Amino acid sequence: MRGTKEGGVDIFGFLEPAQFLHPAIWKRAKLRVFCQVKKGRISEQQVRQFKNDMNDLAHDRGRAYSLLPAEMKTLSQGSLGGLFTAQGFTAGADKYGRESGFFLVDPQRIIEVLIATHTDIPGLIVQRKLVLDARTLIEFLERSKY
Amino acid sequence: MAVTRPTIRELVDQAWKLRRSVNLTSWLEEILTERGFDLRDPSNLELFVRLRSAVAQQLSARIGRDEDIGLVAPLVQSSIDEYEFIFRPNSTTEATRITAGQFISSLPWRTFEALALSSFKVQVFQTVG
Repeated sequence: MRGTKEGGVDIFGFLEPAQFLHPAIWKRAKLRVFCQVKKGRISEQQVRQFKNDMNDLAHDRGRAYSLLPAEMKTLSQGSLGGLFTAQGFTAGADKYGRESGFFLVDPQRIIEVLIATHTDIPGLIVQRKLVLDARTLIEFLERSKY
Repeated sequence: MAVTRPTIRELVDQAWKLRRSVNLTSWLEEILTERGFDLRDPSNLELFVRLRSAVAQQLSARIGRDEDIGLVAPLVQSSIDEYEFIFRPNSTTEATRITAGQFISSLPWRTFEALALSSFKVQVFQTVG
């Protein structure tokens, strides 16, 4: 489902622009999305390494590439990269990440998107209210096989 | 009576957390008067004007920073009066952000990874496999 755990890629999938842009133009277009997830604060060095990993993927090489499902290998054009962190980014990481065209997500943005989209995550947010309970959250995420 | 001059940062933080619309002109008048500043005194009046301008500028910058990263700021600057900031009830409170942020930081890596993925899925994102 996700994650090669090799070559710096933890989550991958497809983004279909026709789901939010006009399908007359964007129908059937797909972008590959690769993300790295870090528990700690992300440094500029780590963003640079991720950029190298993305570059390897774009050139069909690297450990992460060898572990991708066939569908993702076939679609070799158009990739987006993003970094998730539980502790934020250093100023250098933030600047370099943006200049590189990556999306950068910290806990505040995760909360914002869940609240704004009225998404319930038991143990974290229910009906747009925080219900912080680590055990419930872990159980829910394991059960739903995210 | 000893007067305590409020700092710009203190005022910006306070206005940010009010959870209501704020007109900096009347709000600052009130705060400075409460703290013992006589606004008929020209030097105090000058302080008032300086503070009002600086607070408006910093609030506006803070709103811009939130918007740049996709967060809904609690205030929006009025297009008619630059010192009027209108409350947005659909914003996420600062306290919620901080509390949730600390909670998320304390989660095990695997759980955080699953949470990152779940937040992705609420957008139009399809994972493979």
